[in-house]
Amino acid sequence: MQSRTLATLTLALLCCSAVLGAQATPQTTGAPVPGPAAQRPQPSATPPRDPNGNPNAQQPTGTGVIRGRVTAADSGVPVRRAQVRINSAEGRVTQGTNTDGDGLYEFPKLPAGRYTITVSRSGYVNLQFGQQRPFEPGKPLQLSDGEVAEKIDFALPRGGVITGRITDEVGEPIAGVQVMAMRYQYTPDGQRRLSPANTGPNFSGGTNDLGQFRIYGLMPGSYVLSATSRDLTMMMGGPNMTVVNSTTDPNNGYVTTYYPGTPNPDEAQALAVTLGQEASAFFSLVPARMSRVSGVVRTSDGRAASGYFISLRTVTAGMNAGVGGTQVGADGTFRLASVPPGEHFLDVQSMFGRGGPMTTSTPGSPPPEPEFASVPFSVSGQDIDGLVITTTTGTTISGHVSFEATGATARPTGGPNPMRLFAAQADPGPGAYFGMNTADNGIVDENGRFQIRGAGGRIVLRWSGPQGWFLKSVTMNGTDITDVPLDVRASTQSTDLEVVVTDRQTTVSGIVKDSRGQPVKDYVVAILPDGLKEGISASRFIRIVRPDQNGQYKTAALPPGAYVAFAVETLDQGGLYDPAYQQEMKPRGKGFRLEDGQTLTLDLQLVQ
Amino acid sequence: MPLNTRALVAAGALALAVSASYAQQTDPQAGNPGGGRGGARGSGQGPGPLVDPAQLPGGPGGPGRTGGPPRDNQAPKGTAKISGRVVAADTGRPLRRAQIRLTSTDARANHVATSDNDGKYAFTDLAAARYRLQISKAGYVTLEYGQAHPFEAGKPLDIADGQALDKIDFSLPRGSVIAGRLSDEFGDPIADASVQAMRYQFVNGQRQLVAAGRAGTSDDIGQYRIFGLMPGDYVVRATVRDNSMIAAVLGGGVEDPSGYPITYYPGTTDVAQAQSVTVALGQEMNSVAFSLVPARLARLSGTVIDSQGHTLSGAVVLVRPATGGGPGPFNVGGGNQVRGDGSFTINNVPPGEYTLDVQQRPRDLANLGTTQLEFASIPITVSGSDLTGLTIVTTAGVSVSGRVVLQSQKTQSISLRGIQIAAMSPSGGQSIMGIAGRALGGGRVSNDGTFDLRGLAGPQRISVSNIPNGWVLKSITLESEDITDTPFDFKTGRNLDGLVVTLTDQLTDLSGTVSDSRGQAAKDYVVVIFPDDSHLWGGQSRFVKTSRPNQDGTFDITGLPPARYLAVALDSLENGAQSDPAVLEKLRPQAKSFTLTASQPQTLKLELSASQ
Repeated sequence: MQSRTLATLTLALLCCSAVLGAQATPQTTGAPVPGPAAQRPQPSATPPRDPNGNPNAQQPTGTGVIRGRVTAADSGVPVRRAQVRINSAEGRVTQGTNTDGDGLYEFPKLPAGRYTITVSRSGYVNLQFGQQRPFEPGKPLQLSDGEVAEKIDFALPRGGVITGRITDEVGEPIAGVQVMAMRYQYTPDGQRRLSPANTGPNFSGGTNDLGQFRIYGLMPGSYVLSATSRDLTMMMGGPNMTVVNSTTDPNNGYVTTYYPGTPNPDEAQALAVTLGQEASAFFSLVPARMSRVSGVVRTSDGRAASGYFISLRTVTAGMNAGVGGTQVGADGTFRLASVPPGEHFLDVQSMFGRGGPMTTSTPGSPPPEPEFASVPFSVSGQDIDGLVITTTTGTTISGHVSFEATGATARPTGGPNPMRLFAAQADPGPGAYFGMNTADNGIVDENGRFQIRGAGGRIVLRWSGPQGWFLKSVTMNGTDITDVPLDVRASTQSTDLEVVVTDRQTTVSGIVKDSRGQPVKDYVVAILPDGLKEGISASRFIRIVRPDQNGQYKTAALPPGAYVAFAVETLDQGGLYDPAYQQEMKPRGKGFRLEDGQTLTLDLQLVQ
Repeated sequence: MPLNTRALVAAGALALAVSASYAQQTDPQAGNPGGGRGGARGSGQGPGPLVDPAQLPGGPGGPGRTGGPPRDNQAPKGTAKISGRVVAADTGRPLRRAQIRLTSTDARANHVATSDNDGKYAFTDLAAARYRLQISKAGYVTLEYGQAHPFEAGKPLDIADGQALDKIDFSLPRGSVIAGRLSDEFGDPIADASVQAMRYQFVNGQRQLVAAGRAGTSDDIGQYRIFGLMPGDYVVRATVRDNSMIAAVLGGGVEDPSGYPITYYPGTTDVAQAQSVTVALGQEMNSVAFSLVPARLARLSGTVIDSQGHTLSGAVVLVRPATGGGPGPFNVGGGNQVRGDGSFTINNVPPGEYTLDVQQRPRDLANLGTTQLEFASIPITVSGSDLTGLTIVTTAGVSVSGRVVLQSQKTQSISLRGIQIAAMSPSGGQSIMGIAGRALGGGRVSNDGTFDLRGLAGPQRISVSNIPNGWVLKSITLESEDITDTPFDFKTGRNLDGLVVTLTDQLTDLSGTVSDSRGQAAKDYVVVIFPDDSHLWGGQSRFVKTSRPNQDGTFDITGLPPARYLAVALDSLENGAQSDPAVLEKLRPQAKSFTLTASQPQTLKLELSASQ
């Protein structure tokens, strides 16, 4: 019996006292062994759910097993009905289960692979296997055929809580205010932006009639609180709604307000949250006059955009928030009765997808292409009338895919995912174009032809398809544009793109040693492109990798090119995207070059 | 019949004041009644996009949310004014930023004002019309002008050119609160569950549980708080959100798949065993604690076969709770695509009564006009054990085409576009195909008056909505049968045309006044008009109407179908109660009989009926 016990880790959490730990005493054995897991109900008593029961996941099965227990970090008692999800690094397996009355969980019949494991339970922080600090990525669990990884245990810390009360300017409570905890984080384009602490329902509280809110399950850290009073019925209100402003107090709403009471996110005061503790925040919303925004939407051929839907997207502190929307009237008009001050986008989309609404399609004639538009505007209390929005069909991008096969099959076959090319937005963030990205768009036919309709903005072409096949290159008129954003705002058509998809993948793997030459088990490897040409989108060339339980890191399918890699003890989520950090770390890393299809072993020394 | 609810008492014609029960009101400033650990949260609505337009085509209730296409985008302007003041009933202090919504009954004008620091509001430049005025502020009960009792209709305001109605004042009572703690079978808190207060109400002639107010959500210590409620009796139910079951839905793990079905206070999954919680005006019931009852989740699987006997791939199977009042159609376990061999599986369905819908997805929306999409809707009872081997046979239903015909005395022409024809089940609901078809434009009348309905099966009632102002439905005929007020049995395999919907602008006109037992003119009452022929009673009857007086004490109703009627005037009537035949039967002996014809306006003088 082979035992690969990892050293029990002392968890160095800078900002919390409780142990945050997907803790790590995994013992993996070649065969099931007696132990706590043997006491759980036999699988035969409750037959395992058929993974194929979910039609979306016709997943491969194997002979590996992952099991363990979830306990509360503070009390040590088992956590019932915690959700455990596993994903194999290759994306072939996605499974989930709940812990039983003893906090135990088990995934049987797993194929070999590198698995990430995530555990969540309301009120506790979400934890990944191998995660020891807030906001750091977890580690993969390497599982071989027939292997039983047991004692994959998690001690879930109770999350931090922010409670408080929202009032108006005279101290009366306001009900129905959405309060969000957000934190600053670097995005891949090197911008520092606010992002919601998490997307779970428990992270956005609505105040009650006493103005109280409670946000829970927070990771320890520093949070910016925003409070937004939204009256959607008033905002949408129907096209003939008139908002009457009082002559004595024209303010009929509130602007999004940041703790401790400012409309400016830059003036927000961050709240420190620690595990299992409650922080409190009392503040008042800043009143403001809401604006009426009205106009007309026309399609590219001048018709009223009947059957289209217009939605308001608000940009706050570099973050997009969909607010709501309304149907464009039969005569093309729209009216939003009550829009708060700020930066917004109006996004227009067909409600009916391809074909348009039936009432506008003439029998026998080809249906109109769905059109769309995305228009930025800002308001600060004034009304905007007579806005004219013209939708566009966007650009049609077509081309041909050739397959570069080294294996037995000349082109990808099978699998649940159709072969498809899609237009991905090159620039993340609030300016992103709001185009059409439906699943039936860009599918590759038998002859390798594809057509992407309705593309817009600055895009790069990306591939999705069967396992084991990767995008190698996209060329237009002989120029490689794989990572060069294509601005398709102006043009109407881009044809004859040549796309190469390959089954040859690069692999980079290795171990990391400390300054005394001892192998390190716990680290983060960052890989950055070196000397990338101006104008090239870096996203495909950046990797953050954590080691498996044997201390080995591994990443696949990096494009060929020049890179710098470095290993550090820890790295915050988004931290690698900080340009200053990249500049500081690059000289301390190890440069390497990756050739097409190369398997590279790259051992690194931990940067102190 | 809870007609004697006197928690709210009318004081004066306009303002609502508060009865003695209001003394139980807790001071809103007193902080949290739940024990000082912070309050439960009010609403589970996240800030995310409300509507994903991509979801709309198949999404029941999608495009309908903003109503039909507008007929007229410009509110008419005039010279009338309405103004008033809003105060908090408990403190008498002005209420700032209350929303006052003024809507003309012809829906052409729709104004919203916000009260200022003194609680004052004003509407100017109003066109002469009949209006309804509604006032709301979060945490307070929402009231209509003239509403003196919970759950009764408000009164209309009739305003003429140049007229100024001032002192339309409101004294807004604080809403009642139901709060408590949710726990699991071990006493541990259950977080993120949706907790909804519901009350019995007459809907389509049936006493049904309907959601009241906004749902609360339990927090990490299990606390929830539902606020802004009218005084009354409530059934409280908790639903564990779908997303807390996502992991189990993915499947793959070894587990006994247990979860929580909908649980009613004080801890039962049987609605008949639910105990109601009574709150007085402004009262806070903050110990409505209960435990959810775990149950084994079931897996449903089977095969879908189309009307031609072939396996039907590319369809979607949805499971939604059979009883209304829920959060609308929902989908236990994610999108359930029917596989290539016609088989389907739905994991983790909690025990309960459901409707299982199968809906064929259009392969090509471009050919929708000619494609007959297959569907099925079957009731299903899940009680903890897996249901395997289900065979569901779909039908294409039938298509019906028709036209709208105008019968005008005034030879006026109107745009027919925007009128909506729909097929409803006799009990009032639309089939999944009907909802989807409507979203795709089915039943929408075009300029020339023609329309198409698709996917009809079994007995269906044809309903007409979005009828232009000044017009009313006269008749619906199909196959030389009058089906205006009766369902038509649509038999599979036989498409029909010649459905004729006739609208008329020759409207009946009924008005009148009511006096009390001492012969004094009454100003506060509700008139119930119902047909002498009890076959025409019931939920969706065109012949049953209630009316409340305007500010001068006069009531009027236009557009009732000509018939022999009964009329009775009551102190108050809960909304929807008139759709219960038992209620009408009780009122019959006190009612006054009269005949309504299209040619002759009818004026009634009624005496307020002694309490029922």
